[in-house]
Amino acid sequence: MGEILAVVSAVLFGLGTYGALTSRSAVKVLISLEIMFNGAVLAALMLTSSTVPGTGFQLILFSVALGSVEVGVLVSILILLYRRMRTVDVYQVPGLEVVE
Amino acid sequence: MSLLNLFTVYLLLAGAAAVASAALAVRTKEDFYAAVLLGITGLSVAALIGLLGYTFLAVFHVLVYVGATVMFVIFGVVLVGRGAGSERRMALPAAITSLLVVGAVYTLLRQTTVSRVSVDLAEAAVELFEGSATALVFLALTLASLVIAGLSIASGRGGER
Repeated sequence: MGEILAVVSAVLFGLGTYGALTSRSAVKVLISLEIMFNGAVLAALMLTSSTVPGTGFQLILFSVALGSVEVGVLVSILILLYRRMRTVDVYQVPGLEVVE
Repeated sequence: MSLLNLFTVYLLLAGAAAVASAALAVRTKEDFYAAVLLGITGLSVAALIGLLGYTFLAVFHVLVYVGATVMFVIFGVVLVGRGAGSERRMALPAAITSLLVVGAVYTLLRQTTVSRVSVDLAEAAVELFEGSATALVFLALTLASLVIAGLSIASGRGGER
């Protein structure tokens, strides 16, 4: 059981990292970060399940709620970015663009 | 098939679904499909949380995370339209970094002893409302500020250029 959950958690974290580093679209970066969040939730529950399950329960309850808040703020920022720049390409955002 | 084997089969199925949908979400070109696949990843992770014994958390994850967060992302994608693709030059460094991250996280987690838990909801509720009352108040304030921030930013008061 632990082995399967460890693999799933690690792979979710790795896939999220890959997506966040390679995507040009800010929406895809956000989605990749959310995939990493799912991996982190699983890891936290695994680590607390054998010692302090009640604490893990509270921790994840707060994490999921705060994760929702974070996504809400980020989606609002993305919409504002799109209105101002007409793009969600992170490489075209002033200050983040690639200097050749 | 014994109960233990059936449990392992469920665990494997949920794990495979989570990994496959996450991989497809990262690889797909369309942001909309990526958002929908993120929802499937969330459902699979909720199934894993439920199998671990945290049934209430699994339901909470489905309702709040998949029901609210992923829907929020999907509507955001609908508003901003098509995405911008991927950066090919970053593929190799990103793949190496991801492999290192996978190795590090797996090494950290593989020594953990995991057991199915049974959380007493009444006890957890008392602990939550008495032990973490301040945190709950701050969480409620954060949620309220989210609504205000979301409304003001999306209504365009940030100003257009």
